Amino acid sequence: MASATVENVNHLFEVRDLGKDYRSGDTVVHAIRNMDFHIDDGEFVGIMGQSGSGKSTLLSIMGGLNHPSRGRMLVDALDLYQLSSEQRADFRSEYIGIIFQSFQLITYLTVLENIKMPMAITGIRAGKQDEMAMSVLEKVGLGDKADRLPDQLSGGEQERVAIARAIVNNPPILLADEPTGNLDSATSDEIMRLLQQLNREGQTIIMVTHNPDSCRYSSRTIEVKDGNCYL
Amino acid sequence: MAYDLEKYRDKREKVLGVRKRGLSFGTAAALVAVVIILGFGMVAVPKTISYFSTRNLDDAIYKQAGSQAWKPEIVAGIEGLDGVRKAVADNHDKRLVVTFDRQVTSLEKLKVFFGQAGVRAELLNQVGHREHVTILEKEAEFETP
Repeated sequence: MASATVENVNHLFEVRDLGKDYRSGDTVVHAIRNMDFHIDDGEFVGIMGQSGSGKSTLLSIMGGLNHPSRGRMLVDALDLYQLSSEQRADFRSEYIGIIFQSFQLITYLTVLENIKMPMAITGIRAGKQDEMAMSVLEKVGLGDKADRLPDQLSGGEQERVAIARAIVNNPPILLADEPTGNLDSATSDEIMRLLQQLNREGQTIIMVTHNPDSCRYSSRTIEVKDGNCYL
Repeated sequence: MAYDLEKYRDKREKVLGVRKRGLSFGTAAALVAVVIILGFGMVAVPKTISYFSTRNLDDAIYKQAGSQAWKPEIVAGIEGLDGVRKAVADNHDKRLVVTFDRQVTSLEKLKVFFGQAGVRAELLNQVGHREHVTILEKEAEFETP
C-alpha cells in the first residue's frame, strides 16, 4: 500500500492526473477526465463551469467525500485517498469547512445550536462552545440573532449562519458549493464580500460556481468544462 | 503564498494518528474487555480453585453409641490421620463430621482408628463435601430469622 504522506509537495492542494467515472449499466460517464492543478495556502479560487461540467464532483473529491477513479488528491502532504476512511473523516473535521448551496441548516435548532453542531462532533467542551459560536456569529454580523430559528431568517442571513457553522472549528480550508446560488444579486454581493474578508484573514477558499460575477471576488479562476480544467 | 509544511503539522499528525485525540475506540474497547475479564475472573477463579481443591473430599458423619459427647483427644487424633482434612464435632458434640480425601484414606481406615481408640462410632451418613456444605448453607438460610 502506498504511503498516506507525500514528501515532494509544494502547494496546499495538488491535484495530480485526477479522473472520475460514473457507471450506469454499460454506460460510462467521465465526470472528470484528467485534471492537474494546484492551489496554494491562502488563495481564494473560483471553480467555474456549467451544470454537468464536473465542478461539484471535483469539489467533493477535494473535500475527501468522493473517491476518484484515478489520480491523486494531495492536501497538506496527505494523499487523501490513501488514508483510511476513519483518517479521512478526521481530515474533514480538522481541515475542511463546507458551505452548501441550500444552507443545510437544521430547522428545529436555533442559529446558535446549528453553529455549535460541528463543535459537538469534534468534542469541544460544552462551556467553550457558546463562546466560540457567539464569536463567529459576531464575525458574520448576526450576533443579535443567536436565538432565532433558521425559518425566521432571510436567505442571506441563513447563508451567513451556514458560513459561521463552516468556520466555527477554525478549518484552514473552506469549500463552498454555489454559495450564492439561492440568493438575489444584492445579497450575493454581501456574501461574496464576507467570503473575501475571511480570505483576507487567511482562510483558503475554494468556491464552485456557475456565475462569472461571483468569480470577480476570487483571486484566481479555474474553468471546468466537460471534465477538463482550464487554468 | 509559499507553502509551509510546518503550518498545519498538528492537524496532519491528528489525521495520521501520530497525535492522539482523547481515547481511541480501540483503547476504550480494550479497557472494557479487561474490566469484564477481571470481573469474571474474580468470580470464576476462586470457584475453580475451590472445585479442584475439594473435588475428592467426602464428609463422614458419626455419632457414638449412647450419644456420648466426642472427647477432644479423639477429635484431635482423627484429625491427625493421613488424608483427614478436618474433624468437627457439632450438634452439642453429639455428631462428628470428618472431612477426608477419599483418594488417600477410606471409611475402613477411620473405622480401624475408632476401634483402636475404643470408640463405638456409628456411621450416620457419607456425603460429598461440597454437597454437604451446600446443605449446611441452605439450612443456615432457613434458620436465619
